[in-house]
Amino acid sequence: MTTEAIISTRDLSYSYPGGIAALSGVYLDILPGEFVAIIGSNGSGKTTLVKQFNGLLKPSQGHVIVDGLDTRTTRVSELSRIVGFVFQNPDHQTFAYSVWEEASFGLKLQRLDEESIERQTTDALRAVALDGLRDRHPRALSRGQRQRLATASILALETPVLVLDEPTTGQDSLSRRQIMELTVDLHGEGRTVIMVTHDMSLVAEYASRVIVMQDGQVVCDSQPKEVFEREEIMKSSGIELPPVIRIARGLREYGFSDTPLTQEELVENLITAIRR
Amino acid sequence: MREPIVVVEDLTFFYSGSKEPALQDVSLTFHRGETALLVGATGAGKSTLYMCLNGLIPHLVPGRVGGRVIVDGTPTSDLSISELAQKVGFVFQSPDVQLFSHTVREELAFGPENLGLTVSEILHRIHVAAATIGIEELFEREPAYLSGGQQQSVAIGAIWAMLPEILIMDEPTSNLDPQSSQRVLELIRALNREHGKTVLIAEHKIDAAARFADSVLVLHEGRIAMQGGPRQVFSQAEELHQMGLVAPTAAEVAFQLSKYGYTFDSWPLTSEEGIQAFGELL
Repeated sequence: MTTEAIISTRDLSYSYPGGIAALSGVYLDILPGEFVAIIGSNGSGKTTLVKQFNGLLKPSQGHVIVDGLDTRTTRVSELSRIVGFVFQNPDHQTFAYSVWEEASFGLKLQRLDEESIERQTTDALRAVALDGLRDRHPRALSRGQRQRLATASILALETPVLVLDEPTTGQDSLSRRQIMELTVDLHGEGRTVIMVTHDMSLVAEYASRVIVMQDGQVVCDSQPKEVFEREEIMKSSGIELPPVIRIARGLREYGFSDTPLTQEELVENLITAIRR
Repeated sequence: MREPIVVVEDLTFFYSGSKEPALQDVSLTFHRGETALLVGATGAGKSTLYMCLNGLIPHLVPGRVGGRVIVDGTPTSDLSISELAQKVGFVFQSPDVQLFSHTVREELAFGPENLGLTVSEILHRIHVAAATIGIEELFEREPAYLSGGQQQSVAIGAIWAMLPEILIMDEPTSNLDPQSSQRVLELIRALNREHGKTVLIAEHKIDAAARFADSVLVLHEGRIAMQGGPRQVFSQAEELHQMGLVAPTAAEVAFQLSKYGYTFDSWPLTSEEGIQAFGELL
């Protein structure tokens, strides 16, 4: 067991009330500063897994250790100082009457002093470009803005680990880029990012490690390039390769041998190959 | 194919109390049986345009309207909301916003019941809708407990039972995994190709949507910024970027390569077309 892991699962199994097994025998070590993508089809156990990381769900069997704390015996309020969780649907998370109130709520719960609340909330709202709308009612925001507000309310907590469940769903390309730039900045500051997503282009571009879930089990855990090469796993997990990788692979029969992950890399590689 | 079914003439709309128009001088035509892809950043006016097409504007939403919208030959101002509901069906982004019944059967029956149809007609409609969408085996299930893809199919089925000529889909796959997205997009395509329905679809998953659109409409700050066939619109990546939009991956790569002097007889949109076009350069 690696002692430096910030999140470890040991023989983690979980069944929802009613007996439906959602996770079985999961062993994982997530190290501080990793950028992890968790992928798999609907119902594969992705969200159930990440909900174990902040104690929203507790193991039916085995253990989850977060920064040295066993989630079975640690209060959620304690875990929430370590793991910030941004839900997929911002409407499941937002409830306050103003943007400011929403973004600062978690800090108030932690009984921080006024000055810290003011500073951390302002920083978080600025990071998601909502600092101009602090008195707006969350329901009067667009879906994209509500998603960013939900993110801000978690960012304000300044937790060392961030879990993002489908962070870019329903976002246009501009806000998708803004959200990911923000995530990259936070990761650059040394935070651990764990992202659940169906968007394989995001995985290819940003993740340093990809965990593939299928029927409640980890079926692959590697770097993006290697994971996307595992055709049988991609197929059985219902994962669609991102267009960049599909194009690069199709070009192999024309003698193209690179494995780019981003559009920019594909263009660069193509130009080099054409000129050769 | 060329018969106009929706004609929008110089449409301008100000929400009550707003000094900025949400839509300005919008003129466009959708033809019967056409699939139009609507593209625009958040706030470009897409939702306002939908509401103008299904009559929520001018009938329910307060504001100031200029110009007019003609649906199937009649201006929307002369049609009631319930008359329009039979012509224009609207499928929301999140099916859980739309679904509320205890069973799929009730969900499908709700619209036709509100039209005051006979029981036999209602039963006929829900069976046809369920068979077309492929959700007959879900009849007795509770919508809240279905998967996201199934829920979206039920939402489309509930609209289908109203027999609308025009289907508006607001990012119908945004909450779905890739397999379910694919199924929903294929379903929409079948409703269009096999049943001749006119489809207006907004979709951020541009790679998946571009391949089956007949036309693309780009809204920017309440105005129509670009309009044309998918190849025509998506070959203008630079203009799209200025509006915070992107083209499908193959078209974006072609755009970058064109900066180095490489040319394409036909601008690639899909990955397959990209492989073909870039392969020829290698």
